Amino acid sequence: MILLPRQFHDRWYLPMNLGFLALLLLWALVPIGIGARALGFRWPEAGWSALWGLGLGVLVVAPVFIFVAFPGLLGSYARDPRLAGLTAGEVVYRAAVRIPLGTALFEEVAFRGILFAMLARFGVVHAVWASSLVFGLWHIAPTWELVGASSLSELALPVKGMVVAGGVLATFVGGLLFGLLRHYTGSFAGPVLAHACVNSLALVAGFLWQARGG
Amino acid sequence: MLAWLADRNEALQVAALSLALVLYNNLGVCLSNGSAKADGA
Repeated sequence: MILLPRQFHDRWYLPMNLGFLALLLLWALVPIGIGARALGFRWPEAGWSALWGLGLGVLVVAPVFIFVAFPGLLGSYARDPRLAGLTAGEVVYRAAVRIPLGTALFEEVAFRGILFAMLARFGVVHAVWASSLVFGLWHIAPTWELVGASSLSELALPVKGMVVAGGVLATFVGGLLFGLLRHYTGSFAGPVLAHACVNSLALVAGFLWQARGG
Repeated sequence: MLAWLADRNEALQVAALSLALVLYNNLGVCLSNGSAKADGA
């Protein structure tokens, strides 16, 4: 398999994701013919949706900061060597730019915007669970990589497989919450804010935890 | 008949998008030479 160097990934992650998203949006709007409102571009609703998303995101990730305050509560197995190589500046860039745009905006418009709208033609219930299922499957390789980068990599293959399956299940449940938020607020702004909050603050918490000797 | 064809076409569109999304991320991570994304992507 041809592997791309890390620098390629770091440099192209944001433009590639946003470029792919632009293509998907164009495809949904023009040949498929799904209207902008059906995709979740609803400006009057976006404000409330964003507030709900912000609240949900902070609520979900807040307990993680307990471990930052008391680093000894978590064992060293939770250490992520990928974080050790980051400077504080890189963490700020990722938390403030790369994750909100390249991860949260990209994934939420793709899953809770485009895919959700296409599935909603078969009913809202199908839109919520099926978009979450694809969202879970989307996370197989990243979860596998996360396990491989941690001390969990020493576990037997079937156990590692179960850990990855647990991670995929967790992202499926996260997808259900984001999907419900998208449905009840009418906009994908809430899921974007919630997703960005969870990922960015978890990154900051992990970095601080390790910096405090966790 | 027309409704059935339309339904089938819409289902195919959903399947195509789902496959494209799953492959995009999983292959992207596999090809990125272990440059794990600590941002949960």
